[in-house]
Amino acid sequence: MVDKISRNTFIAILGLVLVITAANQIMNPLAYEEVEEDEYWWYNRAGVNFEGDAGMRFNYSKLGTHRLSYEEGYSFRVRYENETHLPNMAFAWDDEMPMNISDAVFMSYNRSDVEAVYTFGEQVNESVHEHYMIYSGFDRISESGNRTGYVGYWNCNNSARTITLIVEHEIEGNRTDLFRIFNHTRATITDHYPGQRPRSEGTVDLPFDVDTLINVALMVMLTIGFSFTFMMEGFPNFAHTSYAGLGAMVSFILARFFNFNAYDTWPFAALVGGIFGVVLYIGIVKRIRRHGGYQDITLTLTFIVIAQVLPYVYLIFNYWARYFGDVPAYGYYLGYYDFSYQGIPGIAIISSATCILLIIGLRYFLTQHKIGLSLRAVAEDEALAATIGINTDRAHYASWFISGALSALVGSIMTIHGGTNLSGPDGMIINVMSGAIMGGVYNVYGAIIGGLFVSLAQKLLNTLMFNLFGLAVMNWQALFPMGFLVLALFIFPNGVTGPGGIDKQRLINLWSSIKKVLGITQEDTAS
Amino acid sequence: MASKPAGRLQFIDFTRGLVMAIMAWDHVSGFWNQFHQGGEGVMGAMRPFMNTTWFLVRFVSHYCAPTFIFLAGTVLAISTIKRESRGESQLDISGRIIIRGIVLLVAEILIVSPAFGTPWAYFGVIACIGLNFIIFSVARKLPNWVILAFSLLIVFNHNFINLDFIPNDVAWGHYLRVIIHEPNFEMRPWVGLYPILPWLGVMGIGWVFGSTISSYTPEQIKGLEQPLRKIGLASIATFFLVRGINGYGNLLPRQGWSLVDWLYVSKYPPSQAFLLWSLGGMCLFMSYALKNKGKSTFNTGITGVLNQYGRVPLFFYLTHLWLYRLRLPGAPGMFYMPMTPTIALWVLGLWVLYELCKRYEVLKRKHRGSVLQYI
Repeated sequence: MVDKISRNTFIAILGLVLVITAANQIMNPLAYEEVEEDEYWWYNRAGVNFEGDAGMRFNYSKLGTHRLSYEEGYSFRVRYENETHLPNMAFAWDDEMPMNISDAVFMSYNRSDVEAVYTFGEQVNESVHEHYMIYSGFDRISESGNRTGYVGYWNCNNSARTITLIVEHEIEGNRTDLFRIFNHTRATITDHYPGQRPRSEGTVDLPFDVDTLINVALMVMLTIGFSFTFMMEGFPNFAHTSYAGLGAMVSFILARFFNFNAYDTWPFAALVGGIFGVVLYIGIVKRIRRHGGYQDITLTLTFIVIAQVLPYVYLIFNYWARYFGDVPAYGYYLGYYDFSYQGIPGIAIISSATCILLIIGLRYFLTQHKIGLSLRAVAEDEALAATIGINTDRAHYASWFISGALSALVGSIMTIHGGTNLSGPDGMIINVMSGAIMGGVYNVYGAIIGGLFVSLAQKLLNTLMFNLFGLAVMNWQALFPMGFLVLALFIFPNGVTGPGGIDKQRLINLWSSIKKVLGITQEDTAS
Repeated sequence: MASKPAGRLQFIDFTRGLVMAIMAWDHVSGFWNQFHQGGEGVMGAMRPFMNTTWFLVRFVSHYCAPTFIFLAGTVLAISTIKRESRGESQLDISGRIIIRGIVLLVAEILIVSPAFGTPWAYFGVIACIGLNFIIFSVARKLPNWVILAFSLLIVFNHNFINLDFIPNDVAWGHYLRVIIHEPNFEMRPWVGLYPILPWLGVMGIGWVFGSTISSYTPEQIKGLEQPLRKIGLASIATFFLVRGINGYGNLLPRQGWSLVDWLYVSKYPPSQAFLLWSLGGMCLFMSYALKNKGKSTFNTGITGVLNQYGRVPLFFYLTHLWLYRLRLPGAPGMFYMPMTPTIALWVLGLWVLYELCKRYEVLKRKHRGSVLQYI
């Protein structure tokens, strides 16, 4: 129903608005005349935090008439609005360390400034935290314009990055002011640079490799998720490890664009992964199931396609992040957010603890919680579960959510532990399937055992084969999980915890057989 | 017997088509002319133009965004009232508006930002309309007089708003300020030029206009010609008054007495002077269309072409950006053209766009319930 505005109402509204506007104008006479400058301009992206003085303006990627190379890093020009002679400032960074001060200047000018002649002042070496700084004043004489300024570069030990900073001015500029800008800038950057990892004094030698510890945690989480899907839906989800890339992407976005600590991103990554899992269920699985036919084959093939497609979605994001968000994202690496305790990387401690807590939580969920119990009932016999009033849809949602969340969480962990590459952890799907089948795909506990076994056995086999055959074994590593898979299917077609797997009676029988073979009798044991 | 309400409102299609053709000029010039520039009023900046010609070829485009946003409000109101009269549930109507808003936000990120070469988070006119749509999915429940009062209050007073309570030194706070009222291009990727607040006011007035005329008969619509012309002329006269007094309404004060000084107004955010000029012009365009729509030539020739653009505005917008930014393979990235070939390119592009829009409209009609309804 349209409510009309009468002429009188309109005039009353207009009059009221004009009165308010007049009052505003009287009370705020300068509000429209001046735009206040912020006290500080704060720049944060890709590992550099920087606070500038009031009135600073950043301009992208240009220093004087020279365009800085985008590929070599990021560069910005800063100028002070109210100054006649504008000082320029630029950052550039690269894995490559400048050989010396003049090389740093060339690097800043994109190595194209060959005709210029430089004279340098006294070179100063300083160390702030774990960043080593070398800088010097310089004068530049060139046909394109004479300049004076300061140039310096840091070597940040923790992040293995080098940042070159240059502050320059026209030759008539005030060098004292330039040094103030230069000094202020480098001080704030070194103070805030997230490459600094908190270090503790002592270190502890562990009897095992921390990488193995993390890999075991990751494998167990992935295998549990894979088993959840399999026991509920009855087909292998080949896209399962691809969700991990989604978790990695979420963590990367939150950390690099929203300044989250990488650890704080985990719940969000898990949530997004979980929701994605549910969306896949609703959008694909449920629909295909509705139409009958060879559903399991169709679903398997569909998820193989999804596994192929997802990395390209991440690639699209990477493209955006690289070219429009100014954040390089060839892969997702957030390792510089990690901390260490007694020499142990924080990620090893936190990921293992997370894995253990999740296993405890899942055990509680599956044995005590209503939805967990319904989930198990549906996995056993969906039709029967439905007849006794269990909400089967909810059970499916729960399983896909848990599965997606676990996989995405793995992706988040991986960003801190070594990073993920473009295709994410896709290569792990065979390991995960081996672990799940070996443990027994109809059983979450089996998944834990399988994941643990495969990751540990792979490490041990790698070490053993490396000792036997040398470095060439690196080329075959990928075959080991396949070997486990074949072995598992031969010996325990239903997994070690499934029917025909290892149970208490079978262990007793096995022990008896061993004793028989060894000739150990009850009396011998007693004696 | 009550007269039947007017069908498709051609004067809206025409006005929308006209400003979009002008907008296409602004963008083709931005892509291909070295001396083309914009950003009038961003953080109080008043960048000098090369000369009066370059200023005027930019100034002419000031009609676009206000008209686009005003008419978005108008059309939203008309379509909402139509749906209500068809008996669609309130939830469905709101849901549809929200989806449309989201489509626009996604289009901004995926299609518009890369076309302009801006960061992905760039908050441009399409995102601004999208977010305002989402706001209107709820605000539409307010009585029209409340919407009008708030809209006028915003348009007349948005320049007094002080967002200092939102921290500017963190990304989220900075971006929030960009989105609400402070166009800014400094903290990439958190940049934007079309803050929602002032434009919400413009869309609100458009909404009230749309809901008022939604039940008009063709005769009543035709009768809008004179009032619109008067409002348009009064608005432009007030523009000169505001610029002359050089006080309230000028986010960028007049610096002197030259033509450029008089016309150089703040677009980011839109000052009252800017809106007086642009919305005043829009009223004149609508009045012109109403005067001529009965003529046989209105649907042929240039007006026919403009009507065609106006019937598929979003498609035109999304397509024209990529069409005009195309560069031949191997052409240098920073290659610029003089103005005359740019005009030729603009005209050529308009012809291509006409053909595309025509075909798209047929396709859209053929698949009414499909996703095309949102574009």
